[in-house]
Amino acid sequence: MAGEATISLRDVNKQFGNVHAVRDLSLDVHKGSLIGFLGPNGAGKSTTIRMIMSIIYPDSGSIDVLGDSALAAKDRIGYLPEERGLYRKMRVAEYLHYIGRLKGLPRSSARSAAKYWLDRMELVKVERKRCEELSKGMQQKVQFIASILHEPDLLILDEPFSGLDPVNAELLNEVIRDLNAQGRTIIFSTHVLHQAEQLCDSILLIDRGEKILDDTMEGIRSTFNPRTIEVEPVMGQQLPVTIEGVERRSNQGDEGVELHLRPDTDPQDVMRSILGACPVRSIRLRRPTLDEIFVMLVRDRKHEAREEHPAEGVLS
Amino acid sequence: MKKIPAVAWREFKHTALTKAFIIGSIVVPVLIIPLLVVLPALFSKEVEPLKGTVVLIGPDVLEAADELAASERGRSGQQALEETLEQLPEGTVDPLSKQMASSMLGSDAELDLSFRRGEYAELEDLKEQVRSHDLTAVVVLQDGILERHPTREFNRFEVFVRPGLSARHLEIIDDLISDAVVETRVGATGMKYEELRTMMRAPRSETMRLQEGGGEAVEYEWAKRLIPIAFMFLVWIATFTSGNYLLTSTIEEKSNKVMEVLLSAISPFQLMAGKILGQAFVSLVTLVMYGGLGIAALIALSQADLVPISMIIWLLLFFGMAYFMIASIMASVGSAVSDLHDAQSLIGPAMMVLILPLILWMPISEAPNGMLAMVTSWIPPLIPFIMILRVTASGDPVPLWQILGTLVAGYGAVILMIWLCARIFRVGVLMQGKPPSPLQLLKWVRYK
Repeated sequence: MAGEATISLRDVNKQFGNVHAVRDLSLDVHKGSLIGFLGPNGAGKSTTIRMIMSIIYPDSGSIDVLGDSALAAKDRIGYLPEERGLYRKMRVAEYLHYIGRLKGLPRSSARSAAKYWLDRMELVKVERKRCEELSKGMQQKVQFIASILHEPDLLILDEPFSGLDPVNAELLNEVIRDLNAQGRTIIFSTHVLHQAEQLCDSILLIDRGEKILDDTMEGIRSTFNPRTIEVEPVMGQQLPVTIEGVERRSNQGDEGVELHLRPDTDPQDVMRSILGACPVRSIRLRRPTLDEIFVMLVRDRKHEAREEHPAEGVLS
Repeated sequence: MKKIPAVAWREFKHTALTKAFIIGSIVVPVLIIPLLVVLPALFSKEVEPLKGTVVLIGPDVLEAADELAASERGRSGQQALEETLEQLPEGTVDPLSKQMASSMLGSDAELDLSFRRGEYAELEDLKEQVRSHDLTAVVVLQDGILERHPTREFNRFEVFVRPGLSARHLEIIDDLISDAVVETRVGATGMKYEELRTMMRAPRSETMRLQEGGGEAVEYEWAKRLIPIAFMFLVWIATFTSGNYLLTSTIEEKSNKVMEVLLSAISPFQLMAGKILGQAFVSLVTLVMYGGLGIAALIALSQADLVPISMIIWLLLFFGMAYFMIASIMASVGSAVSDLHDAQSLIGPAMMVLILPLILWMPISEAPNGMLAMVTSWIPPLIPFIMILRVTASGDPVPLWQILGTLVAGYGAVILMIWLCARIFRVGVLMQGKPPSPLQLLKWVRYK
């Protein structure tokens, strides 16, 4: 997706003692995009987000947010951190007014925005409640409201779905889509990859502080060839125990078997050999899911790291 | 910058406008004032009359005891108090205590005691009569008690009192018998006891301090001793109370994980500045409330001239200095730790230094322009506390250049401390886990 960059990082490095948390990271997030920021635990996601937010600063490299530093643009950015919380004794409305004021909203606007978003997030009659009286899911929604109250141009959400039940997760999903449809740029990090797959138009994957994938969903699908064959044999029939080119298989119960192919194998050859060996009800070559791509990329890097430094552990 | 007042207001509101603060810091002190008026009245109502008969066994002091009891009956509590106070060294009792004691003794215990002599042989019978409340007390005097040079062994008497006799009444009986013994001894030498007692009364002094520019002012010895420690303690309490609130609220924001949300909206410096300012108003409320009470008490005792306006101005300036020093330390420590227990180990060394003014109170009040006072008033963390002691203690004023010099040095140190603490704060607020060592704190100052 080409266009004006809302966020631009160039050769950013950040080190904490001996740990290189972010390494030569360069990326562009374009205006109006909805990008999933993925990576294993300790990959450097939160550090990168904190640097984007100017909460901490890079050791080297440059970060440009909304044409300036995040410090200058704080009122135009909404941020839901991974480590989030509320003032336990504060009432919900008072907390939202306070955060609204800190985000530069006039008193009256903060009040009306809080009321609108509490209704929109289906949090009725909680204004006068103390934050500690709310359930975890309700607290999560209040925290989300605090990040969007001031109608930011850029919204950064770190694990926004954690702690939400499926109904509320769907509600949040819908709100994020609406905000993106209004032209707001949204970055969110998550461990629930199928949510990212459903929601995002592009993906940024980092591991051990380095970018290993930065592409649109379409680009990713075309880059990563289908490597899984789903087969459902006719009732009473069994697939051969060994099929050439198949690395491993996983049984899907009544829905058949998933065959994961070796990297150097042609899927068409395998499908032909299956059809020749056993009558099947259905057979299909399936695209890799984001989970599979994630696991494959991260696992490959771990192998490389072990080969390069056999005595050292791998940063997780 | 408009965000700092929003943080300050939240900090003030959630500290000073809470039930705990209002009850603990406002209602209780305000209730103490009427209590000061009501309590003496309650005391006076509770004084039981001391009536009955005391039997004296041993050497004869009956005449002197009767005379003394008769003269005590005719003397009011107020007179007794004034005579006693006159005999105390100058400056021992302050006017406020004197007034309270006066109101409490205004209606002294009614005294209607009679004495009679008894014999050793009937001691056990007499004790029984005391037990059954027929007698108030039995006093057994040692045989040699009336000697001109009584030995330690014989210079004593035993008093048997009825169950439930109050300590106050026992004290009156003790004093009467002691006085009667001394009076009888003195009488035996041919001297008059009353005359001797009057002659032994120490003269009172009234000091007038000559002013540099001419004129003279009355020197209030008790105030010289009391006002400095009162003012310093007031500033100490006001600053440390708010400093403590600042410490706990910062730790709470860290442990509640609300810190990063705040830092997405404001810079760490804005957050720290807002918190320090908010607590400054809390501290000011405490100072004005308690200081106001003290000044009101002085006005009520017609002693308002002991605290001139210039002293209040210096006090406020040095209070500001003390507050910002303590607050910056507390905010940075609060940012660096995750719980109060960890905070104590970091604050410990700072407290060791800051407790020094409390220890040095006496020598500095005695010699506010002495070497110790001069030296310690230039050591930054001590400046405000030592200078408050000096400017409020001195009958001999502290040179103006020293006051202005220490103000400049102190506020310079405040700026430096706020800068250093802000550097620690911006790193500390995002740290979790093990508390840092002092060396690590220094590293944080240097972080980019």
